[in-house]
Amino acid sequence: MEENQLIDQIIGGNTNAFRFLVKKYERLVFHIAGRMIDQQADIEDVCQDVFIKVYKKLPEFRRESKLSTWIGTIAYRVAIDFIRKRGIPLQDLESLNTYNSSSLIDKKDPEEIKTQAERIEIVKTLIADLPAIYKTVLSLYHIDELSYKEIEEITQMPEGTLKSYLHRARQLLKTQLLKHRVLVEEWI
Amino acid sequence: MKKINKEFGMHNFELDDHAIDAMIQEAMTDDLLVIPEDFADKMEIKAKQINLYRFWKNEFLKHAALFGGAILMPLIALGIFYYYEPKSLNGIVSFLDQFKWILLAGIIMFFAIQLADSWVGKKLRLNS
Repeated sequence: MEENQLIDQIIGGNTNAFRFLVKKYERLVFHIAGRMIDQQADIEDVCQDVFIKVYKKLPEFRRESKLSTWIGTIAYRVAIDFIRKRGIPLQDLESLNTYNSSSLIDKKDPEEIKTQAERIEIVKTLIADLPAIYKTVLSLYHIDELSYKEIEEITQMPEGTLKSYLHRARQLLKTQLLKHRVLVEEWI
Repeated sequence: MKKINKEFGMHNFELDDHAIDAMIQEAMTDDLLVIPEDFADKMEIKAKQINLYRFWKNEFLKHAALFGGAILMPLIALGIFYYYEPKSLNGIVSFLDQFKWILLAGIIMFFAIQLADSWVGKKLRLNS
């Protein structure tokens, strides 16, 4: 179904068309909320709020940007609001001061890390320890494969800042991987 | 890519951005978040509830406006008659005659506002 047609049907009150939209964009919304919020139940609540907002505000969508970007923007704002309501300082979402490699990795003997699954587990843990904003940007760029412009629209961050986040995230992972001497040649 | 310094037992890597990106992608893809299977169904139910709420809200407002209008208009008419106290039918006619242009302008304005309202509403829906 064409995007404009889908939007018109939803505005007209077609709930089946809305179900189709949810199916299409639930992954993107869960990615954004999931990278910023820890608890699965909270993630689900936030995602529900996002889609309720989408349903209510769809008549106000000006169709100047892609629908995915608009939905992503709502998801990002709702997640930020949720974090703010929980009293978590927003600086904590991007601060690298508290970043340290997980104890799980520290306990591992580098010589024991031999299988691909173990290596993936290490990188997953390193990513999980990154501040929320870094994880969100990484996820939008690498998993949802959005362009800088689209991520810029969603997060309201300038392109330079986004590039800097991606660069710093790469550097951090690189440092940690080298520090822990994780064998990575099979990825390359 | 990998150089092993056997003397110190250290592994040194030349990790470029592409290698790191590949790792991030693989690790994050594997780390897909749990999306409940019935999530879209739940959202469809919520949408139906919103539709129902919208329907009753609109109905309430429509009926409240009609009811309010039905009460208000006779009250205004009664108020005017009470204020001018016309003594006979001639008095009523002369009263209406005296204010006919104001009444006519009021009726035209009422319809003009209604038309403008529908036109703006339609325009907004088309532009959104």
